[in-house]
Amino acid sequence: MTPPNVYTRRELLGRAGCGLGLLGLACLLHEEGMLGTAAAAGLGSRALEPMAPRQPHFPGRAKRVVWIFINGGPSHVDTWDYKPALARWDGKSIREFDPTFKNTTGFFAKQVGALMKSPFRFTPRGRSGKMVSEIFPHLGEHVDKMAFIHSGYTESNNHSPALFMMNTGFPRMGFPCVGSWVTYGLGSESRNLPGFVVMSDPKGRGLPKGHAANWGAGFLPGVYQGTHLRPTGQPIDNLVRPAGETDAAQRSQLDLVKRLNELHQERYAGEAELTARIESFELAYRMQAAAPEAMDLAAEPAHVQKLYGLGDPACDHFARQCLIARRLLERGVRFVQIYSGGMENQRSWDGHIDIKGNHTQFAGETDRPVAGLLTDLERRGLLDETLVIWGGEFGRLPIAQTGAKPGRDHNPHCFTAWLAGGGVKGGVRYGESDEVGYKAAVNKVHINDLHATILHLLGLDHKRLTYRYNGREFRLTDVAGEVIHEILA
Amino acid sequence: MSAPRTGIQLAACLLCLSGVPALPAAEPPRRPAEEDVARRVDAALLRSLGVHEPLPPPVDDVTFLRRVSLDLTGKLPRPDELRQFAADKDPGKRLKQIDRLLTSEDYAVNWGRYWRDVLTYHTPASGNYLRWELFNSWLVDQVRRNRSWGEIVTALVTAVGVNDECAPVNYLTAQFGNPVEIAATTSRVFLGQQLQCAQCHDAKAEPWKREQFHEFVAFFGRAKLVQHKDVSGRGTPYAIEGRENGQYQMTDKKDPSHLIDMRPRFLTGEAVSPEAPDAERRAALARLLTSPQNPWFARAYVNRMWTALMGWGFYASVNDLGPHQTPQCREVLDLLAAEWTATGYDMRWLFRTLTLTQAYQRALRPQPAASAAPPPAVCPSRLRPEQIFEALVRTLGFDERDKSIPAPAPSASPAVARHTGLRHMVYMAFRVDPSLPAEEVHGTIPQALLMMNSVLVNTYVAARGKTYLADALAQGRSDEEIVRGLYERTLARKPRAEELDLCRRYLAKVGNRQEALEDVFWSLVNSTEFVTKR
Repeated sequence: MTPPNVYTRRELLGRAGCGLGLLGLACLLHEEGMLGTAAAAGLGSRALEPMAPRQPHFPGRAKRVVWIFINGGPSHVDTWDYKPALARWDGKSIREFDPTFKNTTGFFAKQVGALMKSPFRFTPRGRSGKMVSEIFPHLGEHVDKMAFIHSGYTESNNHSPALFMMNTGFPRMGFPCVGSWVTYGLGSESRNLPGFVVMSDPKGRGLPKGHAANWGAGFLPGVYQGTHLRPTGQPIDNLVRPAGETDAAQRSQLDLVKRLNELHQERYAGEAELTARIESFELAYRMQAAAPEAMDLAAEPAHVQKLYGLGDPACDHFARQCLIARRLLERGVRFVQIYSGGMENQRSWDGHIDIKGNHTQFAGETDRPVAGLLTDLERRGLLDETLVIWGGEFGRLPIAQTGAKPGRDHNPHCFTAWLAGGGVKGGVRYGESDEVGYKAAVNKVHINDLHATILHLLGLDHKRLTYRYNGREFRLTDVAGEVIHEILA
Repeated sequence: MSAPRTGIQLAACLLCLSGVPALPAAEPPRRPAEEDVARRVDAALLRSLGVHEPLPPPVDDVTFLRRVSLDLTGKLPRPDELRQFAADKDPGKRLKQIDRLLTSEDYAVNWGRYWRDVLTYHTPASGNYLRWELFNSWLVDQVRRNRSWGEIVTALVTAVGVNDECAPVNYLTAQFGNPVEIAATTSRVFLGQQLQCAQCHDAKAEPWKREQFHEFVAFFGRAKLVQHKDVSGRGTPYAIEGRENGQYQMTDKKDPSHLIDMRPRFLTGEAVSPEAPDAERRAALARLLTSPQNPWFARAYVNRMWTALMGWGFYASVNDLGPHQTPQCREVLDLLAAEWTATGYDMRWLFRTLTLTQAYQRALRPQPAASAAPPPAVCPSRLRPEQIFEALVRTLGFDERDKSIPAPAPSASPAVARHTGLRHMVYMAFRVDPSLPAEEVHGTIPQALLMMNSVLVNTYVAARGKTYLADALAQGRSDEEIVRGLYERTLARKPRAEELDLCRRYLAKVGNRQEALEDVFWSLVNSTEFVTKR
């Protein structure tokens, strides 16, 4: 056996740090400037404490994000993009409107119907008089908080690639999603909860197409991947310690692990970094108590529960998720994404068959909960610093998809999304679709532009938020993206 | 999309199963002596590093056995193997042990899995596109037979047939037969060249022109993905067939509506005729890839294996040996690449040579800071997911097929399920691209929760039921004997005096002997050391 080394200051710190967790040790080392050149370059701290809060590139108006993902592709002309001209075009072939129309735009080339007006009534809402579909009675009250983008477009008419595009900026699997980039850039304010949380449909309708790749960290370190709360059963696997084991017993075990690791580090200089990098026990330990507490809605007063629509069978499931989202954000979680709907067709907003029934149902599931979330965030003074995003992976065609009850097929050429809260100018619209809502027409917004804007609101420069992988610097926005300054407050 | 199976495909498939013709070698491969090359590597390494300070001491026998067993077989040594090895007085015992491990089945399984993960980590392919088990067992078999790396790569890039019959075809079908994806992976993994950036643009920082990438892609330009009908309930497998004609085309950057036919041309300038059929194109590519004159083929493999064994690489990334990158210790890399090429790309030869170096057999040194010189020794790296699973199997002593233990895979894991059961649970939690540098492997909360709270770990660290601790207690062993046993079993070494002391004090503090020993076992399984190769 080799004789023990002379203790370095770092090792002494490690010894002295009996009461500190492993992350605490790393943090202390960092604060003491003990991590050598890598730390001096700003790399060491991220390597050791990947989730520690970090300064943005410039002061951002938003500190956290909640993204209501309208999964399956909401029809813009039936929700927020009022198209009175569509009534005039109703029943006419889209080729009269646009001779370049191809059957391959949608998904079902043999069910191409005529242009079809919206089955829903639109009325002016709020001070801004925004025309809103009748399926959003509650959300309509909040239009003066929202900035609408009516000219979004994407690169694929197929769910998985379009979901990847909206979440990662690339229509392929394997790239980091927005939530991963944001937590990579800003870390998390919570030391007890995951920095990036995802919730999916709890009604047994499945996961969004492409599954976990939608909240994957891609080539970013795995710590930045979204933590998916299972919709049923234990929300996080192995979150509950074994039956009969007390908190004190586990704490004592973990302290023993820590002491064993420390004994080891005394002998092998330079391994504190290794331990800090590959172990997450302290956060996992704290999460065992913090996560169930954050998800315990019984702690919320009845009037708040009612505001979100808890107990209403139409929307109880989504109300719970929205309320959990607020509790997570309040506790420092950086990024929450909630998917409305499960897989394709009738299990999500993918209204191929019966657009009226489909959108009535899914709007009914989400209208009151999302409106409740906006109200609640505002009342608590959180909305100023919380960016709320509403949007799906693409829009839908203004023509009918033929069938017993007409539906609408996928439309990658145009969609609507809205932003509200931290740093967003309320009651405005940006960009326009054409007369019938077939294609984005004025001030077109590529997904890179939307992503650049989201990062900008958080104080991150999309051109500077980079990660070196495979010999190249990668960005969320690849080699494009312009911030939409017109919607900034 | 579906096509009936033809006689030609079956014939081609038989060809790929029986092995494509070997490299046209003018003389039988020379086999340089491993011991001799290892000595020259050590001398070159110290020269390159200009080492002045005292060298790290040779690693002790027990640590060496754990290190080399994990590296070669992916498994921890058993306690009896440890004791036997430590007691063995034979000065040549390390060499003998290396040879024992290199001819074991575990070696084949370990490295077959490694290549399976390297080649399929990034694909979201479902079971119809990727026959995971078949592809895995084919790779294991190649390693078992010590087939030349040149022949294996040739089989992968030239494969034809249906992917549930012809295993290497899965390399192509798992990438959906997409020539761009296949070309990018081929250049990245087999040559260490990042061509795909040049797919879209000629960046100033990139060494390759856009045209060069698309010429490389054109080697796969007549390989076609074909879906097969569901025959006797085996799903709808995919095949790769040759296309009769047609050219791979690149979009003209000046006029995106204009497409330019690309002629297959290798990075070093050799081209094949635009009229060449699929088989000829891909056979030509295989020859060029594996040619001893190819400057990258051997270097990419040697750099990758050195990185896997030493914990640091000549190049920072095994994926990027591009002209704009400067390697550490170029002399060592060049020496190893030249000698390995002379063996005809003998995989076992390289493992034997590397594990025989003094560099490999020295005590551990920490990872150097970015851009600092590496040590003439091994740096620690976290175990790969299936090495962690094997370590758990051996340490906890459970049966992988035990259905009574719940095995939920973390829900944040990728969509495509690969393994089943407990192996799947651990694999998915610890899943990581094997091409990632050691210092970029991070722990995650699902991993920590699995190790802390899973039924698997907690059932088998317990002192009741059919467990190691229950046995040890029933046999009336003393606390110290049990703690020593736990250290051997978990960390493959003896506890040091201060560790024994800490455990003794812990037992005294907790009071309940059974509980305290469970805690010690649990803590060892949860220590950093357990999941690191050292």
